[in-house]
Amino acid sequence: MSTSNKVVKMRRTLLGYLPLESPMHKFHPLIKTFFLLIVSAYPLLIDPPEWNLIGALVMIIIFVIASVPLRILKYYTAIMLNIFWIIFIAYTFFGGYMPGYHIITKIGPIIISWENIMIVFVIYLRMFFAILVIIFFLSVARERDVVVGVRALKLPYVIAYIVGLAFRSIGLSIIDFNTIREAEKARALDIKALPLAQKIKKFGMYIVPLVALALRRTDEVSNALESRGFKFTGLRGYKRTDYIVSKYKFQAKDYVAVTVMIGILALILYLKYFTPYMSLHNSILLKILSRFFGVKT
Amino acid sequence: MSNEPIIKITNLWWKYEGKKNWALKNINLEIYPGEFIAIVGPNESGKTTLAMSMNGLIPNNYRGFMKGDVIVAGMNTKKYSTGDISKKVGFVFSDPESQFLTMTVEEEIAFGLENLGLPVEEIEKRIKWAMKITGLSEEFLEKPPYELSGGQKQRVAIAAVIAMKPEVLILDEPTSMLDPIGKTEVLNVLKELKRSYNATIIVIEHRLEDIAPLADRMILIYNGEILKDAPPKEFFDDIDFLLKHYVFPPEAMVYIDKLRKFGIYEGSIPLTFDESVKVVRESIRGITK
Repeated sequence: MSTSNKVVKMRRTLLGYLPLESPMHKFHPLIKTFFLLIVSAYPLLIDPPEWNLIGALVMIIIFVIASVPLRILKYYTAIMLNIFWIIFIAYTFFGGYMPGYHIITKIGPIIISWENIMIVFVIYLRMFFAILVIIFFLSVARERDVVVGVRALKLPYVIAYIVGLAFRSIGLSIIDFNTIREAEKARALDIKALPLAQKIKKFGMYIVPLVALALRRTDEVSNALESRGFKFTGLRGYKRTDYIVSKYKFQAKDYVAVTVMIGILALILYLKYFTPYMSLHNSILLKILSRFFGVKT
Repeated sequence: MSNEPIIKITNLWWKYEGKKNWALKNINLEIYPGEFIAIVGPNESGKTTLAMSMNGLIPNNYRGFMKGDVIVAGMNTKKYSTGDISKKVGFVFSDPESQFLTMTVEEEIAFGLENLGLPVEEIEKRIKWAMKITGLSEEFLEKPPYELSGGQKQRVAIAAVIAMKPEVLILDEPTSMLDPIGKTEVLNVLKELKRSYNATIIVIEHRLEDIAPLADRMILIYNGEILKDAPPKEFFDDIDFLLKHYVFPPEAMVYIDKLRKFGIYEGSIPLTFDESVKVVRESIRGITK
């Protein structure tokens, strides 16, 4: 049996690590921000669930092409299933009834209608696609990409800086949270052993030291900012250099990527507003499901 | 060294808002370009307050009552903001974690340089220079600073400040939160700065054995007052005075002081361990002859 000694160099991202050889590193950071903004709009505009399902499948192919480990999706399976059950229960049992709805069955006062089940599929597959887009973005983007993306959009620096500082604050809050938990453990408090109600109460109690530490950090960060010549009101007399953004150049592949993303968006808008293809009445998946439930629409 | 002080503090008094006692009392101090100053003293003696008054954080960013003047590189801290003073005075805080403002080492070092509005090429050059002087290799550039070891973090913090090439560099207890390896790394950087960086360096430090050989002058601050301001040899001449004010010289110095008191040795207190060994060896030879 042979074993491979190949070391895969990774780069840290918002959600984990991405191999250095991933093609995503070759794109301008702004492309990743655009990806999130543009592609996450697709499911919001698409009604037929099969289109969103195709979108989700395409996303999984993109995961593979981008060398994002698919096991990352495993961690979110439970969340996705929970979302499905919440939507399913909320709409199927408590979705309400309107005259003209196709009744499938009645459980006491609860009417289960085809229209509500249809909404479950429409909403869930829309969310499924959108969640995959977000997971992909978080798996390939670094904090730096987001900051560079915002700065490349030529927004005022203070906005870019607040975005960066927000990431920094999350990191610091996690460190503080872990410190508090370690301190509790050191004094023999094992939160894992507590019942749920006690756990919730304990988490509430974390807020006081976390806020106190955050306030102290605010003071320290503010001092560090001032000591390094930063002014929220803008610099006097000269322009702030954008060194980090200058390290990235928009290349042909970046233009192609933006064009493809905007092109697909335009196509979806066209199909939705100028053709019947995006109508729920023409949804093949819904037709199959309606036959399954014995509903004539 | 120039005859004109780069920092001139005249009759400085400072009291934090809501506090009863003055944190600084009638401080008069002149620091000259190129000097390496070590400020020592027990906790709560006013060392950090004094340091913050030299880069404008006091009075600009803290509430309190101030009397007297602090003139740094020709700028009165009452009239200029900390941001303006930062072009001349760099400040490294004791907690390396809390002073990071960005998500990668490269951004961290570039941050101050971007604020100065320097051209991209100059920023690139200065990043390389600052990394070299602090002993950081280029592989650190893409790393998040908060994922580094304590010593590396503090070196990044120093690199981020010296890249701005301030005329005065203030380091507030740069080794206090580090493990022994981290402390050694930072002290090596201080040695390198003393050797190759042509600026005034002011260090607040508890590790006297490491800082004394580097310092041109040592200042003892106690209860908000400057009690002693002298070159290291003279500073350590009265060990009892230092101990009385909770400044603990290295054991080797205390030992040599005892030899002096017993009349075995008559010279000045050596500043380094090697010098101490030499003194002890010679003293033993003197006894056995």
